[in-house]
Amino acid sequence: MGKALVLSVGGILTAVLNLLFADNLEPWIAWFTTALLDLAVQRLPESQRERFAEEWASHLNDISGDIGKVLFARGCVSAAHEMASLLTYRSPALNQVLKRSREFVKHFLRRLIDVVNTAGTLVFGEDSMLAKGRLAPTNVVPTLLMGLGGFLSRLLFRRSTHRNL
Amino acid sequence: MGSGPQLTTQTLKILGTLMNNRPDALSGAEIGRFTRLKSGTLYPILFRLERAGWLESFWESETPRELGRPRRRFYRLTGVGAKNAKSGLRDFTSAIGGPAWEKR
Repeated sequence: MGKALVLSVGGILTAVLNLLFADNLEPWIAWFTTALLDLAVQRLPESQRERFAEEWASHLNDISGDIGKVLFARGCVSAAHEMASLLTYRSPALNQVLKRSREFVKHFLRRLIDVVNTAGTLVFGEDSMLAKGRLAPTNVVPTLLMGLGGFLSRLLFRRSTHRNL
Repeated sequence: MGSGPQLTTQTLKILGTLMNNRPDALSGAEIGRFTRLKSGTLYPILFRLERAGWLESFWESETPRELGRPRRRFYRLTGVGAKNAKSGLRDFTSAIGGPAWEKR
């Protein structure tokens, strides 16, 4: 009885969804697939774009089924990314330096946001020292600078410790 | 740095497929169908092999207007590619007893 009910509800729901979306879904999928292929082609170096735009369009033409087409186009985006990186070769040493720089900047920004948040809460928050009269407004800037100095020294100390390890 | 492309199992699948179909050339869609590789894996490998001179590719001779669809691009092994593919597949076969896709 329960199973029959679920099946009936599922059937009605599917029929309603079909009525609602059958006409709209097909053009949307076609548009989405084309957009993905365009994105993939744009990721390629200029010299390769024309070739792969046509090659991938013909491959897409040979695929039956909308989901298959979308998956193919999605794969082309990652293929283009990999192919582009093959053409713009960077030495492993340069890659390492770039990776470390990115990590450093990410870490620095994260910590900076932490410090600004904390200092802001300490100075301007409801229970802050400023609100309680324990801190004069003229002391705010030195307090912030001290916080930033502490953060920078911690960051440098951490990095040198990493290097020693 | 090695002198040629890395011979991964996917690369060997593609090389094996092209070897089996020699001297005919295959389109990317046909290679994908035979090897069951997705486009994200297939095209970077074809691209690498072509750049290394193991494969050559060419458009079908008719124009898109004549065909009524975009032209297919066909791939086939070059002499160097066939030689390297043969030795790569032989090494692979002697190491693990033959590629699984040929046992089906």
